Amino acid sequence: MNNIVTLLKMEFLNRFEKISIKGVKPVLKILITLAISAMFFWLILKGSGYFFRMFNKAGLAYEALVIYFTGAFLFLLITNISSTIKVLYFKGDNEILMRFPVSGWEVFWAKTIFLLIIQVALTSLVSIPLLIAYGQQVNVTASFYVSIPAVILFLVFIPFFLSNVLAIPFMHISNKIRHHYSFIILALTIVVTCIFLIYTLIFERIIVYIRDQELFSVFEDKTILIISQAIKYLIPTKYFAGIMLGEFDVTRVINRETMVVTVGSTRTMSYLVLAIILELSVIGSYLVIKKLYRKTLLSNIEAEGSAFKKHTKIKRRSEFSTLIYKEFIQVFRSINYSFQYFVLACSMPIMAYFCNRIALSIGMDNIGNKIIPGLTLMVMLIFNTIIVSFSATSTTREGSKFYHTKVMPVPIHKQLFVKFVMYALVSFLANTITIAIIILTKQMSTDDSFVFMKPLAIYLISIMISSGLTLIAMKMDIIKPKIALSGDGELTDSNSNTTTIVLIGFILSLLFGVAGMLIPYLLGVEFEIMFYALALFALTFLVFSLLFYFIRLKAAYNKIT
Amino acid sequence: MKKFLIAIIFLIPIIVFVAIQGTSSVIQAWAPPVNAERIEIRDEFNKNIGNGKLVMPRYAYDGSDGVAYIYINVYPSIAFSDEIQYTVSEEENYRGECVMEKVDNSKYKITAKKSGDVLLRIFSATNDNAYKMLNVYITSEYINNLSIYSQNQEGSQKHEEGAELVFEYDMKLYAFANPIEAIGENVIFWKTENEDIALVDANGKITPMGVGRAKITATVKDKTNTEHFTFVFVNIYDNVIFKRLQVYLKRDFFEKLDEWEKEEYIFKNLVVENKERPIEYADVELVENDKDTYIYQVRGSQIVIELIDQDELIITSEYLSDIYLENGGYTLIVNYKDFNAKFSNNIAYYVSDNKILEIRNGLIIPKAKGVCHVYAKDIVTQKKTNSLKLEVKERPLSFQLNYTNMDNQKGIKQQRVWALNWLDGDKLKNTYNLGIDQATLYPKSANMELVWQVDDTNLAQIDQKGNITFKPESVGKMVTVTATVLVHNILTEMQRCYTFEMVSDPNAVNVYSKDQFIKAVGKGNLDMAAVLQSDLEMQKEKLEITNSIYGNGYMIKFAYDENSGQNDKALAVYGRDLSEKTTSLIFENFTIQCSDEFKNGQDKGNTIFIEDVPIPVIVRNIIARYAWNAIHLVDDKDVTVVGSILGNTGFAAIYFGYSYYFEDRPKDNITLKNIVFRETGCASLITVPRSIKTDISDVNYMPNIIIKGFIDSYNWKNLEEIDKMFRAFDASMFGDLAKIKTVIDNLMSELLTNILKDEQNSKIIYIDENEELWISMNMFTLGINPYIDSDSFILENKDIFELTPVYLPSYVINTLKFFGSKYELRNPCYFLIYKFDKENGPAIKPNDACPENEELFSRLRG
Repeated sequence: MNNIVTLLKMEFLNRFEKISIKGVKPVLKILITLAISAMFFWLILKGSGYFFRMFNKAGLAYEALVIYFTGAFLFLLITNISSTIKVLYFKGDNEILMRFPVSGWEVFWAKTIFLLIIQVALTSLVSIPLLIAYGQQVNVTASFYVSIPAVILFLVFIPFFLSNVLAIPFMHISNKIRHHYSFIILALTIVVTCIFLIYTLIFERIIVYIRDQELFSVFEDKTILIISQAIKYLIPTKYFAGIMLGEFDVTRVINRETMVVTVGSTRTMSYLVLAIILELSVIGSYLVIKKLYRKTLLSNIEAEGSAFKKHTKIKRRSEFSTLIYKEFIQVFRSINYSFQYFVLACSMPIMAYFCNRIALSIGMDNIGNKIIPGLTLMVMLIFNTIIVSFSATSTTREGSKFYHTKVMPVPIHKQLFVKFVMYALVSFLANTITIAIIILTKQMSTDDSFVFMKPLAIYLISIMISSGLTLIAMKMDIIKPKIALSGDGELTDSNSNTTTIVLIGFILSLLFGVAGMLIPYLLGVEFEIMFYALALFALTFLVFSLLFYFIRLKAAYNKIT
Repeated sequence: MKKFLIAIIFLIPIIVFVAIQGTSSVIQAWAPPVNAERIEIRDEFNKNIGNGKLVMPRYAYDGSDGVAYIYINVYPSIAFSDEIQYTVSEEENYRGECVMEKVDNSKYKITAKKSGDVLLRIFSATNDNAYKMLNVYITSEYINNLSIYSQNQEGSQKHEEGAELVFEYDMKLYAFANPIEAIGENVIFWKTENEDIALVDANGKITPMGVGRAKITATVKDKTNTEHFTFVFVNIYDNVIFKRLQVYLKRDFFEKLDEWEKEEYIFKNLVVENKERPIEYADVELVENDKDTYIYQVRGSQIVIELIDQDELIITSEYLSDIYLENGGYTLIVNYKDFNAKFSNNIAYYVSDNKILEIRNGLIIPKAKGVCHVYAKDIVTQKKTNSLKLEVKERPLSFQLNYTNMDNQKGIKQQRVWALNWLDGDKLKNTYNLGIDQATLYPKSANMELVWQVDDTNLAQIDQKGNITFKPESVGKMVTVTATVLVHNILTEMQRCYTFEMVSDPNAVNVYSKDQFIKAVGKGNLDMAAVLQSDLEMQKEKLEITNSIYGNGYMIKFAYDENSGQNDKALAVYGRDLSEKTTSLIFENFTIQCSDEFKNGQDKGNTIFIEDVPIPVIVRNIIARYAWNAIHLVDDKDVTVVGSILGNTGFAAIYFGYSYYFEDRPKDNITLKNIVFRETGCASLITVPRSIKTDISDVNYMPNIIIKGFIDSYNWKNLEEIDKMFRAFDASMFGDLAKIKTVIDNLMSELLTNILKDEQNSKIIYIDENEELWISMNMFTLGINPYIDSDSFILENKDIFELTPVYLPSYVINTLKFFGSKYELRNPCYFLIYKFDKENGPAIKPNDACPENEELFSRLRG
């Protein structure tokens, strides 16, 4: 038992570092963390309040809760599978732990308890404000609140145990496909785009709802019927709602007729079903772990690090080609990095299009047509920022191989230039496809004709800002790299450089976008003049970025030890 | 890192939305006021009902007036006012009444005052053209009146209560309730007070029994369980001899009778009783007969006796073919063919589709629209009737035509006109289909059987598909088309009318698109006047036209870009292109602009350019804006600009460039009446010589400018704006002074600034609450070298305007001479400046918004 406790403490220390209250900085850090958590709590409370109020107006209160639980369940299942695989099987410290005088089971229990505690905390942090918000919007009884702890426990444990059952098969599957990088990028792109699309559609409905002063149901009759029918098939998540609400009466207006509908399932039934599922998943998890954990762990340690074998011929390439190929492969063959970069870059055109569509609809109703160029510029710059953020870890990502960059017979400037070229190329492609979609769908047109000059002007400004941000990000990373030397060397945690560059990028996007929207109205100038002004600022920013990048570049790079 | 990026992505729409909201607030606070562009009307279910219908009850459950709520949004949201106004159609056919009032924000309450149809025109208070129609149908559970219609082979007719009808065979009565929905599932009952004179069946079919007068009453309960009735008197005169004109009798019965017995039978059973002039046995005579038929005659009337071997069960109410849902009920009457047969109580009814109707004891209960077949069967004898096809229809309660007379309130003129001709490809036709607006049909699935009529067939004809053919005689006149709902082939009171006001030009054509417009008025094409029936998207056209334009309040929208300049002309008329048959030109009741907004269009194009036109030109009730000049006139003989809103242009509202008037040349006339001048870059009216001849001095170029009515000027200039005014002038008009144009600009600005600051001119200077100086720049005429005849300005109201000559001070003259001017430069420029009451300030102050509403339009129409 002591060993388990000790291992558990070690997991916490590895994850969160030692919490100290000595000194201003640690205390400040704690306070900021608490403040951010409180803000997060408040945001969820507010945002989910609108969400549930909107659904309740349409008589879909029960369905809204089921949708939440479904989303949460899937999210927890996926993250649990991922965490389980990572913590139980792929964690770099497994090699070390296997050499300690602790049994495999002790390692397993320590990691498992750690995961559970984290999940309970996170799930509570998200679910409690959300469910409180639900209780505020919908007429619920006291038993709704009383059942919150039970629901959270079910919500944590069922996915957890299921994930243990599914982790090994998933690992095998992922091992099989882990070298099909193109397929992975494509699949992730589709998933991310779909999730974003659903989110923006819901967001748009919420905005319409708020704008209409919450007077109307924002769902059409057909949509209400589809949602209420679809919910019936969401097992087991509808039973989570069953625990909280039991059988529930809702009022709906269909074809202008008001009707009262009973939805949901009894509490008894819901508890029973979930208890059975929990029991089955516990049993399944036990059997899988007992039979396969150690074996998988050991085989994984042997296999770790090698995705696949491929015999290739040695090709003679130029320095530039070699380096750019290496940069590309480094990102392409890492699911983490692919997601952070390629997937988001591939998703950008579709996400930008839908985000722009909704923004234009809101903007034109609020203000008028003149807002179009500025708003489109803002949306494009925001998405560019997301893509550019990857370059904020260009040096950090070298990891333990960083020193190769210092000793290889290629000047640092050239190596960095290659990195820049790769980022610029991806950004260029993403922006080009985005603007092509905007032009072809006539998104910036006020009279359904094809418009070219305005989108191209925005494209030019986007490219300049994007390039400038890339340079700033790269230089920031050179000045303050966060090179990871332990573990598998992959950078999975966010770092301050990324946060900073995202912040800078958003500020720039807002400045340019809002200026682009305000200038035509306040100063009454045409688009051309506005464009020249913004292009000038963008060019100035680019020049500044170049200066920032090049000045003392080598010195900064050499300073990294 | 992944989670961080995903979280950021999910924040993006929130950030964008917050940015839009913030920007919107800033623009609303600081930007110049914006008029409404459109409105949107939604019902309580968030359905868009603009240009559609709203159905509401007359009374609420507690007996108070019924109410409905609608939501009206004005777009864009930053429009300076979201105030809404409405007008109600006063046409007779709209019998309902309601009132609308604002509750809060965008919510409005409509209170029903009387059941029936109401047509509302709801519009923005800041822009009359931002409107939607709303057809409100107020339902009632109480019948307001019940009317009897009679129908025979010749047609149908409505009767007042107590009307005297003359019986004819095949006469059938109908009772229609108003409002029809108040009947619900109830049935109309028919009753005769005088069974010895006339019988009436359950469907209103009359059978004569005796000569005399019978009171026939129709009674029905409405949904409030209140009974209503009405009656007519049916007079059966002695020309009615027989109860029926054709009768079936069994052969074995009739042929057993001898001749006398046959006649007796007919006399006793088939002849109506006539107490005043009784019919005798001897009056009945056999005319002819064969194996199956006997024809008897009494006093000139004949009856046909058809002999049948086997009796048949028949549906005697075979006149039923189409029946209507909730229209007072119908009865299927079944009997044996044999006149002597007794009515059977053992009848069962069969329906081919029970979803469409049911029959209970003969009473037809229609359930849904559709066609089915019914028949009856005597359970005892097993005899079956023939099958009767019945079509169940739904009666329309409310509808609109594609145009309503309230739709005619368009533009400043609040009028809509029509040309005699339409374009069909390259050909002309004078046929048009009015049609009904399906969005306003209530119920949505109602059967629309309409009778189309015109009020004067000398002017137009219409077929029963609604195709109207206009005749040449209709030019300049009004043609009213009426569509009446037909129920059981009876013209009901549900009627809609639309009046075509035909333009007085026979050589005009209705246009709906840019291509049609060019085909009509474009140079080298049909040379016909264009009557706009739709907005026109002209894109980057620069069109030379040769005929009039009747705009009907629509917009002619050009979209000039950076490739267009100050010399481009959106619509240009040249005297040389006009045909001899064109005796005048009229441009009326439309909006025209060279760009989508002021700042984009202010250096692009002239919306209307008229040059060397020798015939009268009338520019009436137009809005011209977003261009370099709104109207540009060059040496036109007689131009009248009346009731228009001009401005929001880069240079002038009206720019005149006229040639010198040498001694013999008669002066041209320009009449301005009831004009609104919006902001322009320079003065609202600018006059310069058509081209400055530097070798001609002291010669007048001003035509007669006659200013009548009012001029509302929003064209206030402060010091900074005055400074920019003159830079817009083209250098070429300054002759050999062109090279020192900048000097002249500065000098003129300085002059005007000095005028502004001169206390002696305080009556024309307005000082606002920020102590800023403003002057209203109505007109500038260029003097200096040419001479301006001040008698050319004929001001009807001298109290409002000040005609101020501005002589160049000596230092200016000397400066110009120093730069090479060869002439005396002694002639003044003239400014026409707006005077106002110093105490109260001007009625229109700088930066005031100009609402394009009915109040202003009414003033413009004079």
